[in-house]
Amino acid sequence: MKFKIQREAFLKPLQQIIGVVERRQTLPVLGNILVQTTDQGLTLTATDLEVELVAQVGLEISAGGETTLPARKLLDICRTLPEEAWLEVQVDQERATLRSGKSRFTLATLPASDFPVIDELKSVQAFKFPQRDLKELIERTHFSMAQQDVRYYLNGLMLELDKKGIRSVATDGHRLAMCEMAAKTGVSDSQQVIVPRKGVQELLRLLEGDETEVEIQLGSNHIRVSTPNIRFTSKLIDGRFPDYNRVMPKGGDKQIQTDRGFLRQALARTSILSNEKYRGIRLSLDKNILKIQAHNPEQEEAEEELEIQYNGDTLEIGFNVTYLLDALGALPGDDVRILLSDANSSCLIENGGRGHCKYVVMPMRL
Amino acid sequence: MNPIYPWQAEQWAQLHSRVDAGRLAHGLLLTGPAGVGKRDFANAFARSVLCRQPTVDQKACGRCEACLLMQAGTHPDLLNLNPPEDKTQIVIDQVRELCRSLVMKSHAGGYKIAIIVPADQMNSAAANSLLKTLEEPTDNTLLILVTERPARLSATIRSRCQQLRFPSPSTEQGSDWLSQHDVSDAALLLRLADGAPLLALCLAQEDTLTRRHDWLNELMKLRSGQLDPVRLATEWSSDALMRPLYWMGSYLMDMIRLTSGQVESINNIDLNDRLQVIADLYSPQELHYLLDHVWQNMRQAQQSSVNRQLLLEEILIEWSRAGLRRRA
Repeated sequence: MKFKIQREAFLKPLQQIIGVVERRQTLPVLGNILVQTTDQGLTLTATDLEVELVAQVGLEISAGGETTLPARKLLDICRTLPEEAWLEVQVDQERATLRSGKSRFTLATLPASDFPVIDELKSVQAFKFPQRDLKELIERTHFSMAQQDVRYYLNGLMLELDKKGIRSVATDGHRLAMCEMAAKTGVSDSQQVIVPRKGVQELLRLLEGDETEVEIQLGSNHIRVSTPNIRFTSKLIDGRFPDYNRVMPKGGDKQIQTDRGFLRQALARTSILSNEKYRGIRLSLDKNILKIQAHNPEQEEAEEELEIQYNGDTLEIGFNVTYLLDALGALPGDDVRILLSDANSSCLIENGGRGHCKYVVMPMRL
Repeated sequence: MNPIYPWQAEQWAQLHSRVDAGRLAHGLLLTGPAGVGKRDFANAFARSVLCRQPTVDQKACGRCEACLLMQAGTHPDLLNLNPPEDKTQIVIDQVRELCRSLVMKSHAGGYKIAIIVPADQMNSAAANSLLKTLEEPTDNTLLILVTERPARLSATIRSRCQQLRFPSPSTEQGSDWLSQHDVSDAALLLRLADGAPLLALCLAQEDTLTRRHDWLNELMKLRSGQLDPVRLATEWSSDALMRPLYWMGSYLMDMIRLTSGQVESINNIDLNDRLQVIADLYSPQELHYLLDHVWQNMRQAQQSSVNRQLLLEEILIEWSRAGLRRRA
């Protein structure tokens, strides 16, 4: 294998895929990237057995072939070369030689057949979707995923497709986040997949906030998202996501309407003096007044009063303030509507804005 | 390619008929004495299940992509759980990591297989963290636990697995196989290895056979006062695998057999006469006591980081004293 490439053209795809190469590898070949030549140029593949990233580089190839090269060393060499330098890569059997100007590096390779790649997906459901919208679906929900929960199906983000669109749902059992987008998915029956936490974070890193479309493929075992430069593939979690519709509070008769920014700031201030472990705050509702109170084991107290639109009965209810802040931070738009029923029932946070996000937070007993 | 040993044909056919019928249990416990090839069997079986083009007799082809990955140890659906290098225990973090990977769907769409060797070296926290996965894994998961000491596994682990036994093969099968591997003294080696062919092959390849005589000589000298127990302990403790102690146990066992007249069943058949001479110097009670002592200390040395020097000193002093006490 032999090719010549400019530093910048090589560096960017390397940086994009390096994220999945873990630093301490039990299997040496996973510390490498797979380099293959194609008709159009190069494909670079990195994997941690759970998430796979493939970058395409358009290039003229002098001699074809495939091998694996140490990922971090290759990246570091590229990064430290002078700008716009040309790099010549040549692989003979077990050694790869890199030349640029008067620099010369010899890297150890491992055989490409040792490198596990994910084949074409089986039983695929494919459709196109704007990159910005996919990013939004993830950004507005991913923080509610559970972390290392024994209910392993919660340690990921559920994506659901139906005729009308695509929906993302995440929950850790204490709160739930949901976001919907209309799309022409072309599916007849609704289909659910759970993308593991790590895949979600990696995908979020790759997506950009513009209008270009990405292709989403759902297979029986994998999800694949192809952006113009990078192909992302993640394993799916093998489990059933709980029925989120049953969690949505119904019949909340007490409705608060207020400015999202003001409420968020007030909560953020009050939260400073809430118990650092449990993060409890007390909300007291009265006509057009919301009182927020917090105190901690050192007997320090915070109290804040906020003018809101509220016509219901008085109510006192406790929440974990982190969950409220997360939801308010992720919600789009200037206004927020909160629906409550009583001190023992969960609340629904939403606004009528774009993206149709809903957040459910369970109360705390204070 | 992993071999299937001729004495495993029955277990092989049994497991594959279960795979074909779709009735393979998700937890398998392979048990049997050391050196009969349980670990090789587990690997060969996993490979044959994950291979994309298995041969007609259901063995892995060794050429398809899956087989190449498995040979490189990088197949995403084949996970191996062993104690980390320079450690004797499988720890909880390893098990958690394994369970985390097993809840994902499989890479190639088939089975996800985890092989845990030796299963009895999971510490109790690690074993407990495996229970949930072992009881109710996701579809197409297969956990293979391999151990020569099933009694050391907790009952909660054992009850979640289907046990598959690998007894030592018949002497004929064993010596046939050994002779194919250019081993002389097959009969003696098999005896010394308690009938386990792989262990016998191991013995043939290292210097144990000749060293055995030295260790017995040293024990005799020790008893007659020509050797100092402390100095001998220093020498013996340099053996990483504690072989001298193991063989001391073996001699003691044979001496006990000799004193009770079971000449045919002794292992060290080549040392028969010498062992008989020593055995006469001790009472049966002393021999039993010493044997217990050796075994107990062997176990301790394997499971924890005891001071080997002290441990050996104690045993060797016991050995040199036991006979004297009787004379006095």
